[in-house]
Amino acid sequence: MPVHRRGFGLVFQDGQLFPHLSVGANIAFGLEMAGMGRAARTARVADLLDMVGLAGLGDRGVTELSGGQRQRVALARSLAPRPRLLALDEPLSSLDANLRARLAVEVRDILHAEGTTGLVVTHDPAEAQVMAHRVLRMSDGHLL
Amino acid sequence: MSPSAASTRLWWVLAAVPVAFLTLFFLWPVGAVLARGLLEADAGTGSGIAAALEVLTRERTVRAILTTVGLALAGTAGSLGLGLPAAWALSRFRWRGARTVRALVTVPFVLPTIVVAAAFSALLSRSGLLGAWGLDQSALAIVAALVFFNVSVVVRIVGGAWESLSPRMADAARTLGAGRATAWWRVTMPALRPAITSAAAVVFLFCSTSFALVLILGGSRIRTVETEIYLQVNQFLDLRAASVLALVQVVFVGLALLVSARVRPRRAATAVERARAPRRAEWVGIAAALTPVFLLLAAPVYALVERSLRTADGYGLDHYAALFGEPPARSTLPVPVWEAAVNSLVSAVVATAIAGVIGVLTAHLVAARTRRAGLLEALVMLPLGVSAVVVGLGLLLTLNRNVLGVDLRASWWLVPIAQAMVALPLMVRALVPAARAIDPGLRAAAATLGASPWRVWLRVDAPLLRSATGASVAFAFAIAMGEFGATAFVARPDRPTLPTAIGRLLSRPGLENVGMAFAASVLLAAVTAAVMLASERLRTTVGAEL
Repeated sequence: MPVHRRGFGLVFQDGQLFPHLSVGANIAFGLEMAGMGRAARTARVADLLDMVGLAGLGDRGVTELSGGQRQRVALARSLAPRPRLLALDEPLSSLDANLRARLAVEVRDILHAEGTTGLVVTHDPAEAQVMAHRVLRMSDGHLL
Repeated sequence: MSPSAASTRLWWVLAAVPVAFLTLFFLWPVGAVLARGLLEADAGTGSGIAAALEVLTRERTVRAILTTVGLALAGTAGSLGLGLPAAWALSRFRWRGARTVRALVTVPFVLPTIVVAAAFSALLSRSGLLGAWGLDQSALAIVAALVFFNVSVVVRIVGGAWESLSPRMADAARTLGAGRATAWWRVTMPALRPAITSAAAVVFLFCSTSFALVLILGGSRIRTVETEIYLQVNQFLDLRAASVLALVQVVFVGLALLVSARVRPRRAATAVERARAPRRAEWVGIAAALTPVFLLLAAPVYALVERSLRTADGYGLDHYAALFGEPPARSTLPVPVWEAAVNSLVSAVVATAIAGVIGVLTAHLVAARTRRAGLLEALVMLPLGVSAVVVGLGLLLTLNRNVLGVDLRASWWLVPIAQAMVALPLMVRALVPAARAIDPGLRAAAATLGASPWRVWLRVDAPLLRSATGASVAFAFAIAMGEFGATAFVARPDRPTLPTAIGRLLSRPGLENVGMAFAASVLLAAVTAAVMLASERLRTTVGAEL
């Protein structure tokens, strides 16, 4: 099945925010693709901004954000269309250690609040312990 | 079917558009010309090869080839002679106005060739500013015009390399005991050599394919391969000779391209250091380097404007007014000049639309580097390696008839098609880097958010490419407006474009005719320069994001 019909979300390591769209338009992108009306989109975007702690920043350009803020936008964007499964590919690895520890907790709580199943890939065992219910270790493509 | 197989199939379906366009309007016509030159048997002389040899050994042909090489070598030498000092003055030092001067130096390159021909004609013809020098219809006039055009190429290529060269290297050589001259000769010069060779090859290529300059400034005495092709078709109706000469021209261009590809300048990896302000003695050098360039660039432009305003009794706008009236009785122009200008506008708009659609499509298709993308890119760039005159000749010989039920001969479609063919490779060359600069991750991100490939293009690629597309569309429009080489072959006599109308007015004596030609040239130059400036401005705003 082509990627766009799978209903799986993905948070990229480096965010991959659309540079030509505002924060709000980035988050609304998936909603628009799903055919959601404008009013519903606006409400959902506001909810998500609130959830990731960026309330009121919807009109900002994504280039004006800090690294931590960007990853929050990336998370909100992936969560917006309510994916059946959200894969997070080292979502925090580009951030500094302090922020990483704090965001790991936040991301876990947000996924929990949204009731979304998340699949997190990370190199940091501590991060995995904080974020996950179940931790699987892989080496050379094999589960240990 | 798997998604990747489906997307491969879609790729080929989309690629069919540029491939079909190039096959029908480039590969077939040009291939037919070359085949005709080599293979077609001839009643008089027997085999095709023998006939081709007969054309090649004609005294006319040999002279045209020698003239082409001679003019191109002189033009290249002149461009380097003026361009290298100018590159030094503009890239080595930081001074007020250096940027402006550099922008001005690059203006000639975007002027239509017919305008440059008109400007030098205005300067050197008997009643011109330097008419007393007796250079009208001389080789020197052509060489000067070639240098006018190509000095900017040298400044751009060599200046760019010189700028990225650290002056510390020469300083290091001096601390090792090298004198100023030795340091320059042993350190700076070798580092610049690839850029200089590359610039020389490109300039040689432009000089040897220059058509309008030689046709207008050379008169009947100086003929190059390009103008000889035109004369053989239009005066002697000897299509075989034209085809053989086209073959010669393709070999020429191929060799020049080969040389320039082999010596592509490497970008120096050294950190760019801030150019410093010149010292007092160096100001003298800067002035000495830039003054000849300034005189060469300013004199013909001044002469063109002056002659466009000069009337039988003083100065006035009479020639400009005449552009809107009936054509002068003694000219061979069947329509008023304003109508030729309208033809040009319409044709340029259509050509831009064709080149725009195919260019954007091609840029999208070749953005991901795959083997098939490489092949498509090479195909679309191919017209760059063939002179516009050969393209025009090919279109004239093969498509001047009924094709697939459409009678192209009776329509004016060949003109915008020829112009689109000339503009397309330049457009693609400007667009592809911009398309490749888009992070593929963005497309993947859009797909995970539910965007289909089409919507990915619409919502991610298209907005990110908007300014690059705008810039290259403006560029294509300016090229189509000023195109002369291919248009001269396919434009019908009763439906001239502005450049072909100027060419015809210039070839007729009489103050009224040339005055109108100069006035029309000023207008054409103003339009193309304005469009080019807009294009340049659009391009510099690209990349401001992220």
